[in-house]
Amino acid sequence: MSVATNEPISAIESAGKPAPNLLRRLPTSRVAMVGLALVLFWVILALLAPVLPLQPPNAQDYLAMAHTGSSAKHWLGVDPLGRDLLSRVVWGARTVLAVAPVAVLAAYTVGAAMGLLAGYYRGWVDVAISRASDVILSFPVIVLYVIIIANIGPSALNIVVAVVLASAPGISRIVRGLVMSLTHQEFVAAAYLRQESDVFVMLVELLPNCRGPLITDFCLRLGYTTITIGTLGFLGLGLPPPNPDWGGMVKQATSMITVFPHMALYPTAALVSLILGFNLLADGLTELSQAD
Amino acid sequence: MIRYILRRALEMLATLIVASFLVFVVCEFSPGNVARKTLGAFALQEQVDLLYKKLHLNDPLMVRYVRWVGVLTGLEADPLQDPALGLDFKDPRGARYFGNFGYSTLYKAPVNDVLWDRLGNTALLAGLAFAVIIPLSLVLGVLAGMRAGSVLDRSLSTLSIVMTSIPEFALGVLLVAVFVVALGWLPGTSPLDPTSGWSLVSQLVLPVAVLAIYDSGYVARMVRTSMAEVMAKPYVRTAVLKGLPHRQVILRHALRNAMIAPFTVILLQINWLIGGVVVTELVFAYPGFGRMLLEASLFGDVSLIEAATLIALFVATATQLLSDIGYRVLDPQARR
Repeated sequence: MSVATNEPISAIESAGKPAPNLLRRLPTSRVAMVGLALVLFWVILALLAPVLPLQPPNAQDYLAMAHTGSSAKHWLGVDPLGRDLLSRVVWGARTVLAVAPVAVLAAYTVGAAMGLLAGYYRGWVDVAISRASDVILSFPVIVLYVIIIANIGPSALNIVVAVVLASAPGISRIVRGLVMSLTHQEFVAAAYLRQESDVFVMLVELLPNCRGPLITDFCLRLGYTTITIGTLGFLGLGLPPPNPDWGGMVKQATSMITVFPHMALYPTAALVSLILGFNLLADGLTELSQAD
Repeated sequence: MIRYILRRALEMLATLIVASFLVFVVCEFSPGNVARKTLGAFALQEQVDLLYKKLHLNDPLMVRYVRWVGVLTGLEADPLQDPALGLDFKDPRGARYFGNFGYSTLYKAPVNDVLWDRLGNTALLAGLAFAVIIPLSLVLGVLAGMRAGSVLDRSLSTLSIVMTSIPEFALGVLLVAVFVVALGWLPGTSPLDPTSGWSLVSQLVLPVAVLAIYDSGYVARMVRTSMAEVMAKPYVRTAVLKGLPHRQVILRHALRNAMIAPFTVILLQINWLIGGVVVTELVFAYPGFGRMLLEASLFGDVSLIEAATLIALFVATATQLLSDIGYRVLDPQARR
């Protein structure tokens, strides 16, 4: 009996309760709607970034460096290198909102495959997959990220690789538990009687019936991954400059925080509001699935 | 019970061995790097090649890993300390002793000289954070879980979501902006240096606050769920219907059973704390273990990275073992 803290617990709690109409009932939860609004706000800004009348995010305005606060030209002021903060915050949303979902989706593909195999075949397959997961899960997460990224180098692709390696074991554990609780159900027996292949049973019968708890977990993981991307940026292991990246922007501004706190505060606020959006959405979904 | 503990301890040892091998693979997969990182960026290629040959870095990975374990357990002498190499790596403990983590190229000192002071500083930071996390999260969680769905529950639950939604570095920046920049009450860095003009206590306030706030929100949510579940149990309803005062129902009947699940989670928070410590120590320039690990990783100090991750892993797996044992002691049902 070991409980993994790295897991979003609410997903495990609601495991085994299929909630097919979860997304349709979303509007009834106020918490979820607030979260959704926050997320959509950033998604829309990120999509519109190229057409909005913004300054180029990497262009330096040397004249503005004399007065870095907000002005008619730079609404939120400029960063330590004289680049428009508003533009960098908006373009930074594109970075996070591109990398985080891709990373979580990739982690889900690997993790769900591991969990399906372990839960379906059991026996030595299960032992092998579970033991490997235990080893990865015994690492403190940030330590794992730091040694991976420091060794393979910081880039968007490597962040995705690191997130997959760190998150797939946790996802696999949830899926494995769900699959094990489902294999005794009649619809699985029916599929056997129809002589469906193993792959068919796993992908068509089992996986879709896991989706209720997984939707919640997906949202929570988006939040965690956003935290991770921000933190890696802050540690200097995020996307290479000059691309705007919220964590990296905060890192760059912290040395000047006593003089120009706004440079650090705007990207911080952006990051926190997006994470809060994902977490509120996940919380609302958990509440809805438990109301069944 | 003793058999269970022994079995789990063996599993822990196996996990440590496999995980340390993984770390070794990540750090030393390309053998050329090890020699290059040891000698630094300004060494000539011939010097690097010479060291490469002397350290037998062209041996298979598995052989090199066994050699590393040999040095660590004191069965073999650290090859880098060989005076014939002329690297001037000296360790007062000798070249062969148990727990020899090798030589740190970043700090130009044996890893054991660097490691333990910093681990002590981090233990202080984490210990203080823990002393805040436990009472704070218990109070928040129990108050919220007492009446699930009430206004108090909703406000406290939202508060804990907000607390867990602020990454440590962002929280550090926000707290610095308020308490250092705007109010000037506290120092913005915590080098644990008494001559900096700020007392040691004032230097610890912000780092501890960052760790405590982030983790408390998470633990409080766990306590709340567990408490809400117990409050819905028939025996609690019986106690209420018996006419017992609300206070007594909570303290005598509900709390004890509601604490079993959070106990495990609280212990496992140590794993989270190690991660939080890396970020927090960087924000406040705290001379601790986490910042050392980060600096070693960025510099490519292979021996120090391997030593630090091994210790982090040991702490993480040991607390997991403790929490599993504690869970069994607390919950008779888990013993089966």
